[in-house]
Order: sequence, then C-alpha cells, then structure tokens
Amino acid sequence: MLPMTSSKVHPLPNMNINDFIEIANQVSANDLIDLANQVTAKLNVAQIDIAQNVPVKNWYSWQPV
Amino acid sequence: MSTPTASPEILACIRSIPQLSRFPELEKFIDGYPVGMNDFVTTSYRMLVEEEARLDITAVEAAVYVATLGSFLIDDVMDADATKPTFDMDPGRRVNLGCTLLVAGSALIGQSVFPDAIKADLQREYATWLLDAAVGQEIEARTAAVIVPPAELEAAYWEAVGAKSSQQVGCMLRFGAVMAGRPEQADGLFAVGRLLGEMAQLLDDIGDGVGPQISPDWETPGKNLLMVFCHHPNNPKRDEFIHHFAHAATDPAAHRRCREIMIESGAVGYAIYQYFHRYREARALADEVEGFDRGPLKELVAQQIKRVSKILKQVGVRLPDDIAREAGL
Repeated sequence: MLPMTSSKVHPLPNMNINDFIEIANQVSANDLIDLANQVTAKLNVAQIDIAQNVPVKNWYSWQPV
Repeated sequence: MSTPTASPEILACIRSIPQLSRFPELEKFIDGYPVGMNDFVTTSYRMLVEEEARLDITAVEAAVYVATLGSFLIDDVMDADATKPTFDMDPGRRVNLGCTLLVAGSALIGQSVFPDAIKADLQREYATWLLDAAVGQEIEARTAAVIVPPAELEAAYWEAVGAKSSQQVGCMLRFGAVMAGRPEQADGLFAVGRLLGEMAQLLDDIGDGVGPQISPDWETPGKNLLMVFCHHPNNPKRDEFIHHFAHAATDPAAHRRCREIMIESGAVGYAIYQYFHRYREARALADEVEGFDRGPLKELVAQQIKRVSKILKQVGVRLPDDIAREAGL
C-alpha cells in the first residue's frame, strides 16, 4: 500500500524576481535570461490580442498567432 | 494536449451515479468546462502497461473528471468568476454541487474494474490529491485576503502554486502508476507532473495577465506571477502599474497600459524564464526514469512547450537550440 503522502512546498525558483530585475536587459550567458530579454523586447500587446482571439480562457487558450 | 473534453464513455460513467441526476444544472456544463487532466492519467497508465494488459480505466478517468469539475466550481465561487457557465447558480448550490462531485469521484473509483488492493491505493491517492488541493485553495485565499508585503508576495505565490496547480498534475501522473500496480514509479512521475503543473500555471498567468480580458486575477494580484512581478518594490514601473491597476477593471485604457507594463518591465519575460527553466528540469527528470520506456514521458513533457514556442518564434524570438529542436521548430 502506498503511504499517505502530502505535497511538499516547492523551493523558490533558482532565480527570484529581485535577482531577475537586477540582471534583466543585460547581456547574459544564461540562454534563458537571453530568451526572457527577447520576449521583453519583441512582444507587444497587439500580438497578444491576435494570439488570444479565443472566447474561452483556459490553459490552452494562448493560441498561436 | 488534446482538446480538453470528456469522452461519451466518461460522461455515461458519470451519469451512472444516480444522485447526480438531482442536480439539473450539471447537464448544462458537464461537457463545457475546459478539463484536460485526464490526458495525464491516461498517458501515465499507458506508459506503464503494455496494450494487451490494459484494463478499462474509464471509471477512474470519470473520477478525475468530476473531481476537477467540482474543484473548478468551488474555485469559481471563491474567485467570484462571472465568466463561467454556472454563474447563474446560487453560490451555495454551486458549492454543494462541487462537494457532491468530489464525493462522486470516490464512488466512481469504487466502481472501477481494478482489484480491491489497487482500488484502495487509488482511493488513498484521490484523498491526498483533494486534501492538498483544498490546502492550496486555503493558502491562495489567505494570500489574496491579507496584505502581504510586496517583497514577500512571490514566496506566497509559489507556495500556493506548489500546493495547488503543480500538485494536481503530479497526482494525475501518480494515478497512472497506481493503476498500473507500479508504485515504485509513482514518485518519479509525481516529480515530473509537479513541474508540468507549474508550467501550466505560468501559462495561465500569462493569459490572465497580459490577455485582452479582465480575469479574476485582476481582483487578487497575488495569485498571478506577472502582477506579483509588477508589484515588486524593485520594479521601476511599479508606481505607474499600481496607478493604472486601480482602474483597470473599468477603464480599458488603464487595462491596456497595465498589460504593456507587464511586457515592458519584464514580467512576461520572467514568467517565460521560469516556464522554460521548469521545462528543462522536467526533461532532465524524464531522462532519468528507469523501468519503462521513457519515450512517451519525454514526449508528454515536450508537448507542453510546443504551442508557446511557436508563438515566441512567430513574434521574432530566437529560441535556445535545445528548446527549438524539442518543440519541433
């Protein structure tokens, strides 16, 4: 029989908002930081409006542009 | 994931619970809520059991489906979400129906074809899932109801996500291991599922935050990572965001400016960073599993990034090579 487990609190992510704000917009060797910076630079609300032209909001509604 | 809806077999199984016929509104939305949890249960089971040895898991799928519906009903009452199809039901009756569906899930597991020992494990797993989900709701509601110092909002956010969204998907993958009689695989699958659940929550936050509609998150910004980011004291655009946020629900221009700030200040970028960070963690865990063909698990993980990767590529973002490759781009 399986034990009655309980979820453990997930540790804070490897980088928190404070860390991220400090290094955001700088050239980074971390490719995910670079990815985040590209999102900040290239995404805009109009693109989101096109992407979200779906009446039902759910996990799957961030539709392709 | 496939279109989140229930199969006719699952709906027939649910309708076999006679007490549910006493809730006339149930038929109006039973197939209308976006529920994709069953995909995780089914995929997990199929990963672990050869086709010729598989039993009919419809009753367990139905249990997961009604429990998810019940949880959504209660969540919608707590959020006062007016966009859902049950909003014209009295809140008290919605909660009663939600609780009824949670109990109906246990009854459905009892109707399943599995041996009694596995049924007992499934009931235990089901109880763990719903108890932890209730704790997650409580943490989230407390976070929303009290004034949390802005610098501490993120910790409260991850605590609520850890107890609610991530735990849910983890439990779905565990269900597969329990049904398969492979309890030694349960914890490994749970760990992968937790990360997938967090990824789903992050996408949900992006949609609720920067999407064109006002969602319940706009009433309780501590529940949305983008809004938590914009309230952070070190965010240079914090004051401007808070100024517009106060009017966003009633002033489209203020709403639009908030959405722009979420992008400009790096909130969306941060959510994307966290999303793919978890993806890589999940992929690494999937690479480590032993005792079954890890291919379907790796594909399940890779599926999660395909849609968002395609969107990012289409807006001109250059994806890291490993992500682009695994997203099929």
